[in-house]
Amino acid sequence: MYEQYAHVLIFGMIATVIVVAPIVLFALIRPVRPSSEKLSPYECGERPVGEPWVQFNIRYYVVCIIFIVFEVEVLFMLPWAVVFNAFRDGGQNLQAAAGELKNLQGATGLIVFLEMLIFLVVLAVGLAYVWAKGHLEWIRETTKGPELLD
Amino acid sequence: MFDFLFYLFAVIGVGAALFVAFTPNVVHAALALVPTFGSLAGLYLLLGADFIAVTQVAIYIGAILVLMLFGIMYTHNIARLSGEQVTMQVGAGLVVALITLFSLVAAVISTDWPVRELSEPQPTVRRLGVLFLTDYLLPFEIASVLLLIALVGAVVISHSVQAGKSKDPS
Amino acid sequence: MLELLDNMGSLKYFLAELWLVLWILVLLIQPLIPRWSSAKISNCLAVLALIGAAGLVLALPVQDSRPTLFFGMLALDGLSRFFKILFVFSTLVTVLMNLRGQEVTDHQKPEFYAILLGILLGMFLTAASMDLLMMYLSIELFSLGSYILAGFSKNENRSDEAAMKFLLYGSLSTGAMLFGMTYLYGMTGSTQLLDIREYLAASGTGQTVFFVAFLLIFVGIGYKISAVPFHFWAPDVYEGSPSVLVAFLSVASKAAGFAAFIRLFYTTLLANASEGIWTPFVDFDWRAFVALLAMATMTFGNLGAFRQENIKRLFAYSGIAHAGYILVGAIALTTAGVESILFYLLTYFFTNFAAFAVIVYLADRHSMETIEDYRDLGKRSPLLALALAFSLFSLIGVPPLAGFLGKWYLFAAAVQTLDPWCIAAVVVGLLNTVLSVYYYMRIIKAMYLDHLEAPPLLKPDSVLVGMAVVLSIPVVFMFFAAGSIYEWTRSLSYFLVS
Repeated sequence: MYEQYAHVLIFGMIATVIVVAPIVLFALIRPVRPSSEKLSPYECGERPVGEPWVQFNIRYYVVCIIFIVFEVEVLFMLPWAVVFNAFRDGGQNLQAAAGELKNLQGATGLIVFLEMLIFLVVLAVGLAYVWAKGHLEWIRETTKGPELLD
Repeated sequence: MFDFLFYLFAVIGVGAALFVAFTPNVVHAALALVPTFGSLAGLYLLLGADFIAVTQVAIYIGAILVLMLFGIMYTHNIARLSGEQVTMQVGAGLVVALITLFSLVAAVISTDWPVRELSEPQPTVRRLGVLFLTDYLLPFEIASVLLLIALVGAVVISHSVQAGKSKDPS
Repeated sequence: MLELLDNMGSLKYFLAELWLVLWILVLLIQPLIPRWSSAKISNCLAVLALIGAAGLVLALPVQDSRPTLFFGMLALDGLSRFFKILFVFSTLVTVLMNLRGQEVTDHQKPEFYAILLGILLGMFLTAASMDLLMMYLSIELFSLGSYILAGFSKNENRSDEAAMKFLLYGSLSTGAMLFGMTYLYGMTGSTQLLDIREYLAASGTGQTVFFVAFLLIFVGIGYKISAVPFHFWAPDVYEGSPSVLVAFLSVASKAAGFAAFIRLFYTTLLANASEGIWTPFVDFDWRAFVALLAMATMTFGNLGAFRQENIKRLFAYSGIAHAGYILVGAIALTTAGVESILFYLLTYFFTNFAAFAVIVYLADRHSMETIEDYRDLGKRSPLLALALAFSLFSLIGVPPLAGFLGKWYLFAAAVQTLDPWCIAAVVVGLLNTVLSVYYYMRIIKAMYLDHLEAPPLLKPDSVLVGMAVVLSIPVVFMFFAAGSIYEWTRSLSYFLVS
């Protein structure tokens, strides 16, 4: 298994070098003559207006939480999806796939499918809840007044 | 090679974690969690837990960190707050920390750990999938309830923050 | 001896939990349908769900074979049954108290109930867990729910502070617990409590690592039962959270902590040597350690309560002190000790909920939260004042009230061992009982002896007044049937390895 991940490691090393090397190199060879123009933050040629630290809308947070929950859900589904076929075949391939296992009683394709269905229904209710409460809509009818525009 | 990579990841992980703990800037602290989590993923991989390593990258770096940055960004007046670290109860904290450190280190050193020979690790996804559906079915399903509660809770709390904000625009 | 049930075979013993999951989903869907989205319907659904769950728990078939469910994840024994009954009725009482409450606003009620049912599910699983992974997951499930509910109060700032402190300290302590569990797993190679027990029984060495592991696990459990030095969250959380939730936490969360305590430590650490006397495998003086903690918990709790003006804060410290008393039953290391813990939790259920029915009523409807607010309650609402007075006397341990019976059994179980640590803990417990008289009597003095010129009248609320009265009946009259109630808890005190 390690060989496969050696690619990842080498890839990561090259990426690190590509990022770090120019920074180090340029820091060594460039002349240092700072001016207020040069030190101002770069905003595509525009002159920056106001503080960079503004308070972001809390709605990002809800979206992010929803994202985390469903990402975890996907990661739970992945191993299930990988072995589902083996269960459907009646478990003969499972012993080969997963080494020595003792507790395979009653785990047939249909039941394994239902088990995942329960998992998904529970989370689908969460999605329905969030959706119906309007947390997935960015512009809401209920928001009123200018104070929520930031 | 194994030892070299282990120490590389360990040094990066601990160094970045120290930076997280000591930097006065919260945004830098949050960003320094990337190498911390990343090197942890590397350590998991070295131990043969490939699925956990991928999970670590996807969930911690990909999602939790983003959540933390959002958490910092929607904090009011974060620019003025950053850098203000008040340390109280230094003496008591130090005593507790030292006792904890001592007992943890003592436990690790004095123990005769059951060590298994390092063998070429096998991919774990299939094994995990089978275990989720057999021995660990109950925790697997309960995890969905936990996620549901977390989701609803987060929505309710942030909703009440919004409602409070619209009432009181200070 | 032990029967291992597979996933499908376990389901028929798992109906109460499945039922709860179903109703969590229903309660979350209910507000989405406009025609159903009234607080009345959420109230009805929650009560219905809990009555059903109570029925299913009570109807759970008793198994002599003591099977474990889901390949050894959960135990089906008397201990889990007792705690499930306690939890489900705690939740029911909490929901009933909240029916007309305003602390949790009407449009938040469906979520409040759904998360409350989630907490209940977590507690059910905690009481039955036979696997470290399962135990951690279920403790996390009920803690997470409590953190969220602590932030539900309309009193924004205090409630936010409560939720925040609860969450931060709580994550730290459960993190420590998880770390301790990894040490156990690393040494024994299994997350199953029975395997760990086997390993410890066979090796039995006093390696430092086990001491550190169990200490770390105790950090997580001690936080739940609010034992010193992990009690710091309690006063702030009690003060800031919605009163109904405080009532729930003060009984159910503590009981869940003790369920995990008994389950984990008695299953892994102790051998049932003979005649109900348990001896530890690991040659470390656990008894001295827990005895010291128990004494510290009682003393700090009672001393902390002295200067409190806010009644909820006072009850937080009172709860800490009572956690200390219950720990005295745990250090007896006898079967009688376990029975007395269960019995004490039962008396504490009635006593604390009776007191909190009054506190919730006054805090929720009248924003009365300080001792000063309680002045002349004896005239303003004689029934409530009487109920509160009885439960306060019961908390002190005045004979023949329920609290006295509970303490009697606890201390008797500890003294019977004739162990110096146990006797020391009992002596400290008795001294603390004397100490506690002072602050409980302050409330009673305010209610009956401080007279107001023109006391403002209280709006009657039939549900809460009725609950206060109904719950204080067992507090007052339990001694008539103390023997048979104790027999009942004894019959449920057996668990897998006993």
